[in-house]
Amino acid sequence: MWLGLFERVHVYLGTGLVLVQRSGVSVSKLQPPSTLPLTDVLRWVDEQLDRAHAKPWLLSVHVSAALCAPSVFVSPTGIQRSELSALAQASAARAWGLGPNQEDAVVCCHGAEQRGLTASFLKGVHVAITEWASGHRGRLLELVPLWALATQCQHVRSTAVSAMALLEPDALTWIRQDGHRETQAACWYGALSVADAKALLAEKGGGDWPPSLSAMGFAAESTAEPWPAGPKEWRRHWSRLP
Amino acid sequence: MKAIYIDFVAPQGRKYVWGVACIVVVALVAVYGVRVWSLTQQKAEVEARLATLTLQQRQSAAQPPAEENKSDNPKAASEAAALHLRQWDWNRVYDAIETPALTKTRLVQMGVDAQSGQITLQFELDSMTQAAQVTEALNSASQPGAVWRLERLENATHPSATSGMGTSIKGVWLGMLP
Repeated sequence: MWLGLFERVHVYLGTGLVLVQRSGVSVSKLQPPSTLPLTDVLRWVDEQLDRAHAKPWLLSVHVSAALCAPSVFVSPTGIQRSELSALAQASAARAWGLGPNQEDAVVCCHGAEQRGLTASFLKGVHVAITEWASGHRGRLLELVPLWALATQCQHVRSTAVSAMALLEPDALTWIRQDGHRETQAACWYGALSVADAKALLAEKGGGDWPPSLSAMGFAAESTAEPWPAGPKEWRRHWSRLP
Repeated sequence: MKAIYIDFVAPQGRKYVWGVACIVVVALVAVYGVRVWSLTQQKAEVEARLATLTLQQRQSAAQPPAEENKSDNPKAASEAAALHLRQWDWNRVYDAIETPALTKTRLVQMGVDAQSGQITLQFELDSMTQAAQVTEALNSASQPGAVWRLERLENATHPSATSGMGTSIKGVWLGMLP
């Protein structure tokens, strides 16, 4: 009953690209000027979709790797949880190019099973997204990096797959897990083609798309047929890279 | 490859789920607690009543059986009365009846009420004045404490071998078995 008071909305945030999927409505593709700050971009999105006069949004936000990058760090055995968080934060700050005393400038979140892997926002980006979500009586239900969402699909969870590559309109993300559950990750930014992705992944041993690598793409345009083995969210935007 | 679950928003729904679960658990405990308490109370009441009935049964079993049999079982009551009669000392009754002071009288009838122990003696007298003599003779011949009393006198007509129809006096005395 209370759901009738809200509108379920899925949002994808990337560099110069915003996809909004509202219930009962096809996906709205918005391409704000790339020079705008994120807060202005999000305000512009509200104006484009007339959010002020709509029902309050219950938001699921997926972000590009360009906004929320993966980073890895060495996690010693026996480390306590608080120490693990501090270690992850320091590693993320270094990955963002920040100084040793700027750990507070990033917001981290690490997976429960993957020790040594963390996702991080710059604090300003995180604040901008959370404040925007709570505007107009809205509520943020989840804030998930798209590369983490990609690992949850059936194709990646196959036991034959040990690595995943995700080509987004503004970033390429590569994540690999070996038999000892140690995780490796790398991220390249920019509008890359499939050939660029293969060339970048070649140094990681994945340039020729080995069977152990699940190479997938996320496009701004929706496809005619959804990829059955892809993630359920944004079904028509996933594809397997050729 | 294992899935990576990362979410920058802490799951709020778990609070509501746990809250509802706690409420449900508390409600179930309360309902069953009240039920258990109610059953305990009922059990205590039943046990108390059972103890009362058991005590009453024991008290009833300790009472003399003749009193119970009188009202419930006539045959048993008769047997009990007969047993009671056999336990009496009839010699005391006969001592009173056979006293020499009563030789001038005639004992016509003797009756015994087994239930009450009352003895009825019917004498045939020659005159009214003999009634007092009979009363005194019975009381003198009986054990101390025994009391005979004259209940009534009546005229009775009976055939006589010598003079035809004659009129005599009959007296009825009552006493209690010793």
